[in-house]
Amino acid sequence: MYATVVFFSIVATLVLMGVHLALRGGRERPAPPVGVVSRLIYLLVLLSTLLAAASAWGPILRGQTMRGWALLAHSSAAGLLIVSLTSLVVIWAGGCRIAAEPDDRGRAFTLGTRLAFTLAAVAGLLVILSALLPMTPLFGTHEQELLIQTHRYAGLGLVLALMVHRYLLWLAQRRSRATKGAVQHEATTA
Amino acid sequence: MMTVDHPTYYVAASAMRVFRLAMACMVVFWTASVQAQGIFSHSRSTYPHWINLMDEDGQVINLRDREARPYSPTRTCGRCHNVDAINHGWHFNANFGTAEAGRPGEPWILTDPATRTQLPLSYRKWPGTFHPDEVGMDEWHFIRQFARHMSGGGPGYGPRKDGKATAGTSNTDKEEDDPLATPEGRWHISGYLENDCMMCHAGPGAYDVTEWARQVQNENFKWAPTAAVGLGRVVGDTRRIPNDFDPEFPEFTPGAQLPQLQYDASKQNADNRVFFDIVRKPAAERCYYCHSTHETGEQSLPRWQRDPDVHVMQGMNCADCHRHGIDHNMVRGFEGEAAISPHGSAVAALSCAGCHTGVQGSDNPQLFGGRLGAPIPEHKGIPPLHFESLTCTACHSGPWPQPSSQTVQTSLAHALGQSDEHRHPADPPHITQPVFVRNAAGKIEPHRMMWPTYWGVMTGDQVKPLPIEQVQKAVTRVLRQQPAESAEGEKARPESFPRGWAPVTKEQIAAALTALQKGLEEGQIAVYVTGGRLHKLDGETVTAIEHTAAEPYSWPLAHDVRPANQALGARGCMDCHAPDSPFIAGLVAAQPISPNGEVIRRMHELQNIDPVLWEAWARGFGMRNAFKIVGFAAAGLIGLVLLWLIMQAFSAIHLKRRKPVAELRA
Repeated sequence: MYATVVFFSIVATLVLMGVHLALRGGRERPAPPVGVVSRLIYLLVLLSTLLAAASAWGPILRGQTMRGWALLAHSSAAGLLIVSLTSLVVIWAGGCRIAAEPDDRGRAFTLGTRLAFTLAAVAGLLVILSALLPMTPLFGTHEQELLIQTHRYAGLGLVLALMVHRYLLWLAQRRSRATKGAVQHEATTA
Repeated sequence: MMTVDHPTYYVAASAMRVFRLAMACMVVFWTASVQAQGIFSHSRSTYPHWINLMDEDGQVINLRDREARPYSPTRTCGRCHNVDAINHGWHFNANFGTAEAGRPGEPWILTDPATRTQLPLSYRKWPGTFHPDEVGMDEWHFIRQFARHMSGGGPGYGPRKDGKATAGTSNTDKEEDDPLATPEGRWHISGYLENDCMMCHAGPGAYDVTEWARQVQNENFKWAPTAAVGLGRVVGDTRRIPNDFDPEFPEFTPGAQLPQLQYDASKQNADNRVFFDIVRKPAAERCYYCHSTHETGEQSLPRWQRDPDVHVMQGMNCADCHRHGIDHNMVRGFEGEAAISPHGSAVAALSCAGCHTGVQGSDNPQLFGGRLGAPIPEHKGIPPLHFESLTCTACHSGPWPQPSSQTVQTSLAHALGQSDEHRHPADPPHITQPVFVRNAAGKIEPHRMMWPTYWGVMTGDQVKPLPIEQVQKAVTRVLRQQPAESAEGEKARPESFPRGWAPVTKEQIAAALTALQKGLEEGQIAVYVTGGRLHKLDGETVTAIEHTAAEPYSWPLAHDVRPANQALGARGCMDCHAPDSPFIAGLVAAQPISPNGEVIRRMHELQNIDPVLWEAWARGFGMRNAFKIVGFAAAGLIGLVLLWLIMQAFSAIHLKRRKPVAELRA
C-alpha cells in the first residue's frame, strides 16, 4: 500500500510540475534571496533527504523491512537532515513569511516557494517527532506502529514538498538568470 | 536336563506360542471395540482408577499369585484408552519413519568419556544430529543407554520393520509380537520397554523414577513399570543372561534366571483390582525429571539464588501451555507452530505471543490476547522492528547472558534426577548457554549449544561418525595409556578428570587416527572432530581444519521465563546495543578444546551479523542520547518558527482587513 502511494504520488508530482512548467514556466519571477551559506545548507537538506528516502524506500519497494546497513544509512542521514533542515528553517523563516517584502536587491521568494517551504517544515517537524518519540519510554507497540506510519507518510510529504520547492526555486532562479542575462546583453549592446 | 538342542524343546516352545497367541486373540477381540476410540468419563473430575492389572498377554493379574508376571501398561491402560494414538505422540514417535521431524530440539547425546565422544543423536534427522544407526546403535542399545529419561514406547517397542514396530505398540497387534523372532538386541530377555503412562500421570509420590532408571540399567525393561509404580519388588537383573536364553524354558539355560517379581498384595482389593493414583495433568515436578537444567558455569548463580519460571511462580504447570489431546501431540509452544500443526489456531493461542498479545483481527476469542489474565505487554519504547528480529524468548528466557556463555547440564544429557556422588560441574557432555543464534525464521533466539566430538571417517568431503564399538576397540586403549596434560600443566591420568574426560593431546589423536585408519578402505580417511575443528593426519602430524562437520549443534531454550522487569532491555537499549553487550559480543568457546587451539566465536558471528555493521551500530548507540537531545531541540525550534510564521500570517490577514477601514477613516 505504502509503496504504491509513494510511487504514484511521486509520479503525480512530477507530472504536475511538468504541466506547470509547460503552462506557466515562462512567467516573470523575482530572484530568490539565496546566499552562499543557505545554498550550502539547502544542498545538505536535499542530499540528506535523498539518502534517507533511498535507504527507506529501497527495502520497502522490495517488500522488505528496513534493517542493517539501510537502517544505519537512514539513521545517519536523519542526523544530518535534522541539523540542516532546522538551520534552513531558521535562516529562511523571515523570507518565507506570507507578508515578506523583497529585500534591498529586489529578491523575494514566490508565494508557491513559501508555501512549499512551510509544508516542508511542517512535514520535517512530523518526521523528526515521529522518529524521536518512539525512542522514549512513552509509547507501546500499537502507538509505535502508528508513529512509524506517521513517519513514513510525513517523510513522503517532506520529499514531495522539497521536490516542489526545489522546482519552484529552480524556476525562479532560471527566470531571474534569464532576465539578468538579457539585461547584461542589452547593456553590452548599448 | 533338556537343552535347546533337545527335540522336545521345540515342541514345547511351539505349543506355548500357540497358547499365547490364542489368549492374545481373545483379548484383542474383547478390547478392539473400545480401543479404537477409548472410554471417556467426560468429567472434569479424575475417574477413580480401580482397575485390573493385565500382563503382556492380556491376562488379568492376581497380585497374590506368586507366578504373576509384570503388568503391561499397554494392556492395562489400553483397555480403555487409545494406546495406538498415544504411542504416536511427540514423546514417543521419534523413531517412526512417518513422524514429523518438527522444530529441532534437544538431542540425545551419546557420551563416552573413554573415547572422548559426545555426539548428538536423534531419530528425527534434525540437521546437525546423527541417526543412532549411523553409530551402530540399534533400538535395544539406544533404550539401554537413554531410557533412564524416557517413559518407554518408541524404540522401547523394538526395531521397526517397514515402519512398524516389531513388538505391539498397541493392544491389537500383539499377535505379531514374537520376541524370539527379533534378531537384534536382547528383547526376548529384557522384554520391551512399553510406554509407561504412569511416569507422567501418576499422582504425587506415586511413581519412583529412580527405580525406573535402575530397572532400565539392569536391562529389566519389562519389569520397570511394575517396580517404578511400587506395585511390587523386582529382584535380579537380566544383564548376565546369555543371548540364547529362552524365557519360556529357563531351565534349559543353567545358571540363568529372570528377575523375580514379588507383588505387594495389599494393593489389591477384594475385586482383584488395584488403585492407580492418576492425574490427568501432570505437575511441573513430573516434567522436571526429564526437562531440568543445572547451571554449572563459573558465573552461574547457586541454586538458591536462581528464580524459577515466572509462570510456575504464578501457579501454572507446564501442561497448562504444553497441552495435547489423546493423541499426545504436545503443543511445543514456539512461534510458527500453528502453521505446521493440524490443530491450527488452537496451537497459536498457546505460544508466548498467542497467549499474551494475541493475534490482531482473529475471530478466535482465545487469540484476543491476555488469555486467562495473562498481562498484555506494552513494550514501551521498544521499536516494533525488534519483534520482527527477535523471538520473545530472546529477551525473556533463560539465564541473564554473561560475557561468556556458561556451561549447563541437562536431565537428558547428564542424568539429572538420579543420585550420583561423582557429579562434577565439568561432567561431559559439554553444553553451553545462552547462545543467541538465528532460528529457521531468521529471528534471533537463545539456544543451548554443543560441539560434536567424535571419531569419524572422511570420504571426499563427507564426514560420518564411526560405529562406537569400532571406536572403542581402537581408541580407548590409546587414550587410556598415554597420560594427558591437565589444566595445571602436570601429567595426569584420565581418572583424575571428571568422568575420565581428560583433554586429548595431538600425540594421542595421531595414535588413535593411525589405529582407526587400519580398518578403513582406500579413499577413506580417519578423522577426529572436536573443539570446532576437524583433525586428520598429515603425514605423522595432526592438522586441524575448519569443516562443516565440526559446526556446533544448538537447540532453543525457552525456560525459565523472566518477567518484563528482568528481561533484556529492562535497563535500556544498551542491554543489547552496548559494544560489550553479551547479547551480541558475548564469547562462545568450543568445548572440549581442540589441542590445536581454542575456537572462540562471538555471538554476532553466530547471528550472521556483519562485524563492521555491528561495530558501527555499537558506536552509533553511544551517541543516541545526544541525538535525542539535538533532535528534540531541533523539533522545538522548527515548531517555534512555524508558530511564528502562523502568527505572521494571521497578523498579515488582520492588517489587510483593517487597511480599508483605516483608509476610510482617513
